[in-house]
Amino acid sequence: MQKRVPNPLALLAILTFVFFSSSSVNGFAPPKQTKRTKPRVTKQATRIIELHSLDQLKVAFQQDHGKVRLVTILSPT
Amino acid sequence: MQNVLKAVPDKRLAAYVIWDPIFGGNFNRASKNMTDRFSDLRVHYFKDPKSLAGTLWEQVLKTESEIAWDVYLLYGADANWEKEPPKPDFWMHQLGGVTIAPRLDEEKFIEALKGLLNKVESQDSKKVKQ
Repeated sequence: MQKRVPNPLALLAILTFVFFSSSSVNGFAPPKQTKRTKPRVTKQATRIIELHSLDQLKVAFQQDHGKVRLVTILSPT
Repeated sequence: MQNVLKAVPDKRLAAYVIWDPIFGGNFNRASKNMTDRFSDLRVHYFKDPKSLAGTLWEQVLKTESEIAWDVYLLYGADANWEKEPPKPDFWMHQLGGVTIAPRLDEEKFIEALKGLLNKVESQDSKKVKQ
Protein backbone atom coordinates (compact mmCIF):
# COMPACT_ATOMS: atom_id res chain seq x y z
CA MET A 1 0.00 0.00 0.00
CA GLN A 2 1.24 3.45 -0.88
CA LYS A 3 1.70 5.80 2.09
CA ARG A 4 -0.06 9.21 1.77
CA VAL A 5 2.28 12.17 2.15
CA PRO A 6 0.63 15.48 3.18
CA ASN A 7 0.88 18.24 0.65
CA PRO A 8 3.31 20.85 2.12
CA LEU A 9 1.40 23.71 0.51
CA ALA A 10 -1.88 22.59 2.07
CA LEU A 11 -0.16 22.27 5.46
CA LEU A 12 1.23 25.80 5.14
CA ALA A 13 -2.21 27.15 4.20
CA ILE A 14 -3.80 25.53 7.28
CA LEU A 15 -1.09 26.86 9.61
CA THR A 16 -1.39 30.37 8.16
CA PHE A 17 -5.19 30.29 8.61
CA VAL A 18 -4.93 29.12 12.21
CA PHE A 19 -2.30 31.76 13.04
CA PHE A 20 -4.19 34.74 11.62
CA SER A 21 -7.60 33.69 12.85
CA SER A 22 -6.40 33.40 16.47
CA SER A 23 -4.66 36.77 16.71
CA SER A 24 -4.89 40.29 15.41
CA VAL A 25 -3.48 41.28 12.01
CA ASN A 26 0.00 41.97 13.35
CA GLY A 27 -0.03 38.97 15.64
CA PHE A 28 0.64 41.01 18.80
CA ALA A 29 -2.84 41.26 20.23
CA PRO A 30 -2.90 41.12 24.05
CA PRO A 31 -4.56 38.08 25.51
CA LYS A 32 -8.18 38.49 26.46
CA GLN A 33 -8.63 39.54 30.10
CA THR A 34 -10.48 37.06 32.20
CA LYS A 35 -11.55 37.41 35.81
CA ARG A 36 -8.24 35.84 36.76
CA THR A 37 -5.98 38.12 34.70
CA LYS A 38 -7.89 41.40 34.98
CA PRO A 39 -6.06 43.78 37.35
CA ARG A 40 -8.08 44.47 40.44
CA VAL A 41 -8.84 48.18 40.75
CA THR A 42 -10.14 49.07 44.16
CA LYS A 43 -11.16 52.54 45.24
CA GLN A 44 -9.95 53.20 48.74
CA ALA A 45 -12.73 54.59 50.91
CA THR A 46 -12.07 57.89 52.60
CA ARG A 47 -11.58 57.51 56.32
CA ILE A 48 -14.30 58.85 58.58
CA ILE A 49 -13.69 59.17 62.30
CA GLU A 50 -16.53 58.77 64.75
CA LEU A 51 -16.40 61.50 67.34
CA HIS A 52 -16.68 60.14 70.90
CA SER A 53 -14.96 63.09 72.52
CA LEU A 54 -14.19 66.63 71.45
CA ASP A 55 -10.57 65.93 72.32
CA GLN A 56 -10.25 63.98 69.05
CA LEU A 57 -11.13 67.13 67.16
CA LYS A 58 -8.98 69.33 69.38
CA VAL A 59 -5.94 67.11 68.85
CA ALA A 60 -6.40 67.18 65.06
CA PHE A 61 -6.85 70.95 65.12
CA GLN A 62 -3.72 71.47 67.21
CA GLN A 63 -1.68 69.05 65.12
CA ASP A 64 -2.39 71.23 62.10
CA HIS A 65 -1.18 74.37 63.90
CA GLY A 66 0.76 76.39 61.34
CA LYS A 67 -1.80 75.68 58.64
CA VAL A 68 -4.93 77.60 57.80
CA ARG A 69 -7.84 75.52 59.07
CA LEU A 70 -11.29 75.27 57.63
CA VAL A 71 -14.00 73.80 59.84
CA THR A 72 -17.48 73.05 58.59
CA ILE A 73 -20.40 71.42 60.38
CA LEU A 74 -22.95 69.98 58.02
CA SER A 75 -25.90 67.64 57.94
CA PRO A 76 -25.41 64.70 55.58
CA THR A 77 -29.14 64.21 55.07
CA MET B 1 -17.00 73.02 50.06
CA GLN B 2 -15.68 70.90 47.21
CA ASN B 3 -15.54 73.99 45.00
CA VAL B 4 -13.56 75.88 47.61
CA LEU B 5 -11.06 73.07 48.06
CA LYS B 6 -10.68 72.62 44.32
CA ALA B 7 -10.14 76.35 43.87
CA VAL B 8 -7.44 76.42 46.54
CA PRO B 9 -5.13 73.42 46.03
CA ASP B 10 -2.79 74.57 48.78
CA LYS B 11 -1.12 72.13 51.17
CA ARG B 12 -1.01 74.75 53.91
CA LEU B 13 -4.71 74.22 54.34
CA ALA B 14 -6.31 71.58 56.58
CA ALA B 15 -10.05 71.03 56.55
CA TYR B 16 -12.40 69.32 58.98
CA VAL B 17 -15.78 68.26 57.72
CA ILE B 18 -18.03 67.30 60.63
CA TRP B 19 -21.30 65.49 59.97
CA ASP B 20 -24.00 66.22 62.55
CA PRO B 21 -27.43 64.51 62.49
CA ILE B 22 -29.67 67.54 62.08
CA PHE B 23 -32.40 65.90 60.05
CA GLY B 24 -33.84 62.40 60.07
CA GLY B 25 -32.81 59.55 57.81
CA ASN B 26 -30.00 57.05 57.96
CA PHE B 27 -27.24 59.19 59.44
CA ASN B 28 -24.50 56.54 59.23
CA ARG B 29 -25.15 55.69 55.61
CA ALA B 30 -25.63 59.30 54.55
CA SER B 31 -22.42 60.48 56.21
CA LYS B 32 -20.48 57.65 54.59
CA ASN B 33 -21.99 58.39 51.17
CA MET B 34 -21.24 62.09 51.46
CA THR B 35 -17.69 61.39 52.61
CA ASP B 36 -17.05 59.02 49.70
CA ARG B 37 -18.19 61.66 47.22
CA PHE B 38 -15.17 63.83 47.73
CA SER B 39 -11.71 62.65 48.57
CA ASP B 40 -9.00 65.16 49.41
CA LEU B 41 -5.94 64.36 51.52
CA ARG B 42 -6.26 67.71 53.32
CA VAL B 43 -9.72 66.87 54.66
CA HIS B 44 -10.42 65.07 57.92
CA TYR B 45 -13.95 63.69 58.11
CA PHE B 46 -15.73 63.29 61.42
CA LYS B 47 -19.06 61.69 62.16
CA ASP B 48 -20.61 63.34 65.20
CA PRO B 49 -23.76 61.38 66.16
CA LYS B 50 -24.16 63.23 69.48
CA SER B 51 -23.65 66.68 67.89
CA LEU B 52 -20.77 67.40 70.27
CA ALA B 53 -19.08 69.71 67.78
CA GLY B 54 -22.26 71.54 66.80
CA THR B 55 -23.11 72.15 70.45
CA LEU B 56 -19.61 73.34 71.28
CA TRP B 57 -19.35 75.72 68.32
CA GLU B 58 -22.76 77.16 69.13
CA GLN B 59 -21.20 78.55 72.31
CA VAL B 60 -18.55 80.25 70.20
CA LEU B 61 -20.66 81.44 67.25
CA LYS B 62 -23.97 82.13 69.00
CA THR B 63 -26.24 81.45 66.06
CA GLU B 64 -29.20 81.37 68.50
CA SER B 65 -29.78 77.69 67.90
CA GLU B 66 -29.00 74.65 70.02
CA ILE B 67 -26.50 73.40 67.49
CA ALA B 68 -24.33 75.40 65.11
CA TRP B 69 -24.50 73.77 61.71
CA ASP B 70 -24.31 74.75 58.06
CA VAL B 71 -21.44 76.96 59.12
CA TYR B 72 -18.09 77.45 57.38
CA LEU B 73 -15.26 78.65 59.59
CA LEU B 74 -11.74 79.77 58.81
CA TYR B 75 -8.88 79.87 61.28
CA GLY B 76 -5.51 81.40 60.62
CA ALA B 77 -2.30 79.44 61.08
CA ASP B 78 -1.76 80.87 64.58
CA ALA B 79 -5.15 79.86 65.99
CA ASN B 80 -4.92 77.80 69.18
CA TRP B 81 -7.64 75.66 70.68
CA GLU B 82 -7.15 75.79 74.43
CA LYS B 83 -10.24 75.25 76.62
CA GLU B 84 -12.64 76.05 73.80
CA PRO B 85 -12.13 76.53 70.10
CA PRO B 86 -11.30 80.18 69.40
CA LYS B 87 -13.56 82.51 67.48
CA PRO B 88 -12.93 82.00 63.79
CA ASP B 89 -11.04 84.64 61.84
CA PHE B 90 -13.78 84.50 59.25
CA TRP B 91 -17.01 82.59 58.94
CA MET B 92 -20.11 82.25 56.86
CA HIS B 93 -23.34 80.26 57.15
CA GLN B 94 -26.37 79.12 55.25
CA LEU B 95 -28.92 79.70 58.00
CA GLY B 96 -32.08 81.70 57.81
CA GLY B 97 -32.38 84.67 60.17
CA VAL B 98 -28.74 84.68 61.27
CA THR B 99 -27.21 88.12 60.74
CA ILE B 100 -24.07 88.04 62.89
CA ALA B 101 -22.07 86.67 59.93
CA PRO B 102 -22.62 86.81 56.17
CA ARG B 103 -24.39 84.07 54.26
CA LEU B 104 -22.12 81.73 52.34
CA ASP B 105 -20.74 83.23 49.17
CA GLU B 106 -18.12 80.90 47.72
CA GLU B 107 -16.15 83.61 45.95
CA LYS B 108 -15.88 85.72 49.09
CA PHE B 109 -15.04 82.67 51.15
CA ILE B 110 -12.25 81.72 48.74
CA GLU B 111 -10.97 85.28 48.86
CA ALA B 112 -10.86 85.19 52.68
CA LEU B 113 -9.14 81.80 52.61
CA LYS B 114 -6.49 83.03 50.19
CA GLY B 115 -5.97 86.09 52.39
CA LEU B 116 -5.21 83.85 55.39
CA LEU B 117 -2.87 81.71 53.30
CA ASN B 118 -0.99 84.80 52.15
CA LYS B 119 -0.44 85.69 55.80
CA VAL B 120 1.18 82.29 56.33
CA GLU B 121 3.51 83.09 53.47
CA SER B 122 4.51 86.45 54.91
CA GLN B 123 5.03 84.89 58.36
CA ASP B 124 7.28 82.26 56.81
CA SER B 125 9.33 84.88 54.98
CA LYS B 126 9.70 86.85 58.24
CA LYS B 127 11.08 83.73 59.91
CA VAL B 128 13.60 83.31 57.10
CA LYS B 129 14.77 86.91 57.41
CA GLN B 130 15.34 86.66 61.19
